[in-house]
Amino acid sequence: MKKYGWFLICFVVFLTAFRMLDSVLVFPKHFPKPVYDFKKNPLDERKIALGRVLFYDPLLSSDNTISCASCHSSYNSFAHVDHNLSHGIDDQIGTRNAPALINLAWQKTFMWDGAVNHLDVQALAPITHPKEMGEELTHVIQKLQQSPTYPTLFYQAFGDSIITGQHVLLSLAQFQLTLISANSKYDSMLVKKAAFTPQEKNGYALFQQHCNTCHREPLFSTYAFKNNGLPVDTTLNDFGRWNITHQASDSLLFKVPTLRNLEYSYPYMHDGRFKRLSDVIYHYTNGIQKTKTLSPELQQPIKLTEREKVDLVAFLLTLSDRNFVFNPAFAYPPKIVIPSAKDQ
Amino acid sequence: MRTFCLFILYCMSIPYLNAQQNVRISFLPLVHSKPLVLGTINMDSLSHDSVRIDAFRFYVSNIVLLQDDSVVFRENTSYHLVDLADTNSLHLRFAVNEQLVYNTIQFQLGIDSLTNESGALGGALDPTRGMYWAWQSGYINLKLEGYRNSCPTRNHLFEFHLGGYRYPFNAIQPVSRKLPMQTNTYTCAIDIGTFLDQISLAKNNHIMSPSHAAVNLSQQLADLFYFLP
Repeated sequence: MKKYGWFLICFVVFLTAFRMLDSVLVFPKHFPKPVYDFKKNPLDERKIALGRVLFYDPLLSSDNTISCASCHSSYNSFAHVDHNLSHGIDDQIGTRNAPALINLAWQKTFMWDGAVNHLDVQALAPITHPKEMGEELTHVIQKLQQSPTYPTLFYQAFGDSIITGQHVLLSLAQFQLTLISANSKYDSMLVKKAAFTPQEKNGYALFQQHCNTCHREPLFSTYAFKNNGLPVDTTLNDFGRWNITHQASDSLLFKVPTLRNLEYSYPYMHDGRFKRLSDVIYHYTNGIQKTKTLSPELQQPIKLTEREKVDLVAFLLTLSDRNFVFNPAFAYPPKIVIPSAKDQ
Repeated sequence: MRTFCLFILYCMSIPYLNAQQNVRISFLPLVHSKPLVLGTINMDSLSHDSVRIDAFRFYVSNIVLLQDDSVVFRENTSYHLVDLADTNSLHLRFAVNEQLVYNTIQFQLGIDSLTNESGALGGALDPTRGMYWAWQSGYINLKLEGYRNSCPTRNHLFEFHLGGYRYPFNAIQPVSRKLPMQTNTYTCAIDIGTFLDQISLAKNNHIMSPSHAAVNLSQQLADLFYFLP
């Protein structure tokens, strides 16, 4: 009997462990294997919760006014609707459009030019950028350490109330890793839980013919760097990937963004120059500017009739994931757990 | 019972069989053969040029001991931030087997590309240590900031933040030196005065990102490390 008792205990422990893993994060079955190495930063409910509080806390900026969520709002698929360029402290304007923060576990590099090589260290860029949060990580840690609640939250998450840069970054990464959007009509169609209308079906076929090479299913991006034929905005003179590598072949290349949730994440392109989806489609049919580094896929103009354009948009709207943008687990955390909000 | 006694004897002998000893490497930064003191003006009697160093810090990683080209010891998680502003950090200590025989020491000046792409790390590699570029991922391998009278910049200041791990701007530098003799306590010197004499401050005085110049200067600095007899 004793032997069976042990077996039973082991079985129960195994089951609970499996359930916990399951409850922390479920990877969509139709997605490829994530790029992020979860073994190095295993997801934990307390670390995710801490990361969420940090994400929404303006304490991360030098004058305590700007949080990550200021430019990455959950209702906009964690992009910044209506703002072409990022906003920061003292009403400053940056040079790039705030991208949607979704399905980050599948991305190798971050920022429009791939300046950041790992999700863990991404947050350092906006925190320290003088036109975004204008703060220093060491000072953020001082502020967190002095707060009445953060040391406890860090102790609960990492077993150490002494706050380190590594722990701040790992928890922010954990929250962002949970931002998985895979519950759109397109996803339901894939698993046969929904059917496309004839218009959406036609749009899907057009998408596969003209867009799928770079905006590849099911993530709707390869996250590769491409020159998509946008004329240079001479007020910004942004050469994209070239800024990082200084290789001529990288001039004007920007990371291909995902098309998921584009209904919520306008305006479009790295500098947010297009307000409407129709502007984007017009660019691909009529606006491509040929330069040396233009993506080979765009050498021949894409030809679409007006009717086809409408069908294509109908399909693109099936990528909207309402459950994601209204998921309470991603929204502003209850006030009681936002330490700096409580202090005010 | 006999087996048990033998086992006890064996256990007692373990500390003697695997006796460890500490190896200590102390870094000694110099300016024209005199110990470098941060924030202090050093006059060079030859050139009548004055030098002041305000910051000097660098990463030493992947320490390896060799005996005639074959590796006999490799330090685990070998990352050290040597910072002249923190006297303790100038002395690196690690334990090796007492029987170990070696005649060469190798280390990397900087952080390798794999570590550079490993996300948020802690300890000596925590981004709060002031040796990480936020706007473009990557460690700064070496920081050297100061003043030289002949430096043609505002207030005669120069600032070198040398780093970069991607081709063609991979700035990490291997340092490999034959040891004068095996003593387990070594002093590794580097003369910043010599470095400043070698380079042209008119050409390079402000480097803050990966570049060919960063790679060249890193190499010149790495070549200047030498072990005192």
